[in-house]
Amino acid sequence: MSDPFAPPAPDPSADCAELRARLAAAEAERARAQAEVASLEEKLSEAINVCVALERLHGSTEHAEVLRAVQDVVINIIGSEELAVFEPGAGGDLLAVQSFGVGGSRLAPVTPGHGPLGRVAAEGTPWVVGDATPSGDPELTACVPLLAEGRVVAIVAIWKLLPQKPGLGPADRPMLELLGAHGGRALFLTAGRKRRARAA
Amino acid sequence: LAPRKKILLVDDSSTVLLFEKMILSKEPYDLLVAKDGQEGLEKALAERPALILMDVMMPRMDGVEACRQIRARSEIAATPVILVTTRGEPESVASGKAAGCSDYVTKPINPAELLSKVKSLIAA
Repeated sequence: MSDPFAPPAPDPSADCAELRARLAAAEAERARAQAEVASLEEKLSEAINVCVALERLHGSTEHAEVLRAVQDVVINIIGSEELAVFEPGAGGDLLAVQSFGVGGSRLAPVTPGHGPLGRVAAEGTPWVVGDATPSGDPELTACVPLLAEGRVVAIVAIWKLLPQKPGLGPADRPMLELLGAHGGRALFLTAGRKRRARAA
Repeated sequence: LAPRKKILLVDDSSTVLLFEKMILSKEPYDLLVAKDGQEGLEKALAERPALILMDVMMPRMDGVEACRQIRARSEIAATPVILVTTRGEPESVASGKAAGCSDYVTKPINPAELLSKVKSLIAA
C-alpha cells in the first residue's frame, strides 16, 4: 500500500521536457555565439585588408612601386591575376603602364569615352560586374578610376577572378573604392615627385 | 618561459608578407621573412623554424621546389610547410602535396583559416 503522506513522485516526462527546452536554448545560444565569432572574424579580415592596402599604397614615394602596390592589392586582396593599370599619355589616350596576366588587345590604348574602360576614364565612376549597365566585355569584372583632386589619374581594369573566388563579395566594393581613392592619390603624388626629379 | 616558436614567412610580395605578419603577430610567434624559395631554404636551415608559410610562385626557387628541398634535408625535413597558392585547382594542390607540403591556403588569404591551420600544425 502506498504511503499517503509521501511527496508525489516526480513526473519523468516533465523533467524530460525541461531538459529538452534547456538543450534547445543552449544550442540556440551556441549558434548565436558562432555567428558572432564568424562576423567578428569577417570584420577583422576586412580591417586587415584595409590596413595592408593603405600601407602598401602609401608606403612608397616611387611611382613604379605604387603601380606595383596597386597590382599587388588586386592580386592578393581582390583576388584576380588578370589586370591592367592605364595612365593618361601625352596624346590624351590612356596607356597600359602595369599589367599582370593579360596581353594583346587588353593592353591597347584606351580612348576616354570609348568602350567600357574608356567610359570609366571619361566619367570617373567605377563599373563593377552586376551594375545595371553591362560593360560590353563579358570577362571584365571591374574597372575603377583612380582619382586625385577630382581627376582621373589612372584606371585599373580587372578581368577574371581567381578560380576559387566565385565572385566579388560584399567587402570587395569598399576595397575597390579605397583603391580608387588612395591608389589615385598615391599615384598623383609620386607622379609629381617624378616630374620634379626629372626637371631638377 | 618557453621560447617563442619561430615561423618563417616566404613570399616575394610585400603585400602578402604584411598581411601574414598582421595575422600572426597577435600570436606568440617570432616571425622571420625570406623573399624567395632559395632564401627560404637557407633561413630554414639556419633558424630551424617551427613552421614555414611559403608562396608557390616566386623568383629564383618556387615554393614547390623549396618544399621538396626542405623535405630532402634531414635537419628540417619534419618542419610543417603551408603553401600559399593563387590556384586552388586539384592539380595545383596535388603538386604541392607531392612535394611534401603539410597543408595549403589559397589567395585571397582568409585570416581565420590561416591562423587555424598554423595553430593546428604547430601544436601537432
